[in-house]
Amino acid sequence: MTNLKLTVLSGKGGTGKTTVSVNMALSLPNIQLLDADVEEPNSQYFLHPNFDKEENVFRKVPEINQSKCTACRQCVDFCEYNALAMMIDEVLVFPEICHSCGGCEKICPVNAITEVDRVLGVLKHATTEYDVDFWQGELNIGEESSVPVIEALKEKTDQQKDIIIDAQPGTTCPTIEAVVDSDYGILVTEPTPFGLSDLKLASELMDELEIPYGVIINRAEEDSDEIIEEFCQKKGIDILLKIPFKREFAHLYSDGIPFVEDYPEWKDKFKTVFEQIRGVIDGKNYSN
Amino acid sequence: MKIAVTAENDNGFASNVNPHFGRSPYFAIVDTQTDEIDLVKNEAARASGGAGVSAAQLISDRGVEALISGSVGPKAYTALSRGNIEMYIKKGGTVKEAVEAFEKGSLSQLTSPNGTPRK
Repeated sequence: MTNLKLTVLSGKGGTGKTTVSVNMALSLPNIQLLDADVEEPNSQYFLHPNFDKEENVFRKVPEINQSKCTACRQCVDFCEYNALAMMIDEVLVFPEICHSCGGCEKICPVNAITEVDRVLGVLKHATTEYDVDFWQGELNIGEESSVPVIEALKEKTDQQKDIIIDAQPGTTCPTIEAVVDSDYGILVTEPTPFGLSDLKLASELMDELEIPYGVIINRAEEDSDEIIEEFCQKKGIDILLKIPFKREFAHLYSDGIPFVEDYPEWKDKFKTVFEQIRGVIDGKNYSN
Repeated sequence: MKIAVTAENDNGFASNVNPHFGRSPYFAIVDTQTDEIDLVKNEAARASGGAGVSAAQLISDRGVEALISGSVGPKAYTALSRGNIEMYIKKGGTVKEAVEAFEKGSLSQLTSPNGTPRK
């Protein structure tokens, strides 16, 4: 039995990615949870981790040797991201918006630019009171590109465990980086027009990436789920689970308690979902 | 001297002052000696990032020595300061009113960034 790598994502923010990631992780044996929502990693509030390891994530940004610089301006004109400016014959670097492409260093005719390391974020490891091996990525405040932090976080993957990755909401680069090499994607949504609209985007993304996926409806209510069910039925997408809109779940959430701890029967439901996903992946591998 | 005023539209001195610097749709570049005005379109108004830096570069390249706007973000503030471009606050009104207020010396000068970058 091969280990699975699942990414929990959503188009819309606040639908319950962390709720699904954490509760699922606690329902399964031998799990590693990676919180890749590096702009606001919040799995920690439910896992109460004791962080025992920290590693900086670096990226390259240009440094200008002003005594060599001839103010030719080629680097400023080359930079697509406005990370360089020329003010009174001096090249200014705005490292927060630099995309670390290295182009300015190459284009400089007098070798006045060198690339230096800049701390972009940090990876933190923890053991938890639960049986989960936990890593989270954090992007430093003011930084704009989370992708390198997510790349570094994924290098922490333990091949001996099943992996759950809690991704950033949306359908842009950070989400894609989190999910791109996963076996399966769990798309978390809510039964509202906003939930549906962003679910459509997330589903298009997964089609494009050719990664199999299913849907979990969070805050599900009988008289509103139809909006999501209709879409999934039309597109032939599996609805893996519905988590009901329940006052008790909301209460536990606000106290930082994963609801499977108080409602252990939900561990079985998450286990069933996980086995269903394993079936999809094994079936796919078999047919290949 | 040349001053720049962030402008909402391309309507000469009657253009409304835009409240933000980096993503202002236009910059009114006014020569206070000759009263000539040039409305320059801000190509970076819709950039995904670095609009403030790009805008600072644009007005610096045109020889502007003072900027009038509602707010200036942190990166633009750094760039403008290093380009020796003074910054003055004017909220609302027209470009004409902004220039007159500047010449009367009634605008307050910005000494730290007062805008937040948009993502």
